[in-house]
Amino acid sequence: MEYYVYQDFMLHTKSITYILMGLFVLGFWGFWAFMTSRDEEIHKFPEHDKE
Amino acid sequence: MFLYVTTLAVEFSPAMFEWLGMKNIRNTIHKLTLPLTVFGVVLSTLHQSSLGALYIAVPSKLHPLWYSPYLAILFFVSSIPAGLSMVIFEGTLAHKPWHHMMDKTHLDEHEGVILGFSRGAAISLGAYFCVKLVAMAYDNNWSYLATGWGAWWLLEVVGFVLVPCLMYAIGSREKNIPLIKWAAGLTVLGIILNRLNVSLIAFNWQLPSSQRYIPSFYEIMFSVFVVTLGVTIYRFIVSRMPIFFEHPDYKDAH
Repeated sequence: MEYYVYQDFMLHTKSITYILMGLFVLGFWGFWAFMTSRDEEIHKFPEHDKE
Repeated sequence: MFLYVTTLAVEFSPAMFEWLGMKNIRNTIHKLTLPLTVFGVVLSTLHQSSLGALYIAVPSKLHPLWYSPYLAILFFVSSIPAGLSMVIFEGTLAHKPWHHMMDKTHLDEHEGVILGFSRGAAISLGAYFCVKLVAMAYDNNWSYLATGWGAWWLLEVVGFVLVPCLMYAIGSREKNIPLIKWAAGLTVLGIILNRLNVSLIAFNWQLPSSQRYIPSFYEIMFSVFVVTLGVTIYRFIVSRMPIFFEHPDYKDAH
């Protein structure tokens, strides 16, 4: 890809970076869900659960 | 750096004063534990990132795949999984020869500490991987990936960042301690490789190999000496001071 002015370069690289960041947020959600999927549930308020 | 090392020494000193039987000074320093810990954490963010910041001054010498205006951030973020992994790695090494020195509390909590650290290391390694890609995207260095240097970069980032990150995540999920220990070893190797890439291997990459800096035999031996000295001092300390166990005079005082 050719860049005629610095603005072109910044627009291109920043666009890719923002797309990547969006993908990372989604990826982190999946990563966290995978890592914690076998954790035992912590019941902080057992009295509340009975109701 | 001097300030940081001094803070660490003062943080550690209660164990030494317990061993020496100097109760008053031990109790005074023990009360300062919280501010000293905060001070130590703040200082470590500075010294880790300033090491990376040193190389921001040499964009023409360092290969573009390793150079980034965000080197300070990359060094700081990578130091977090490095620290967590080093604790798991050293703890594993210490467990066999010093098992007889460890008290019940230490042994009971060992597995929980490894599992907790592995989750932290998985998240911080994942964050480091993301920051690496963002730094690459900002400078538009994708084309270098198709070169030999790109293969070397991919080996570092995939083999020693992404793979241990997944190993930590799986190990933490399955509570698989041996897998976590292997991930810790890989992470420590990866961080060493990254620091060597930035400071030696990808540094002055355009010069012919005859003009590049390669450490002499005596420099390497000096590094070996420093590590050996560290291990010897560590052995001296843990075989005498209350590190793996509580001192009988200070039961439940920690």
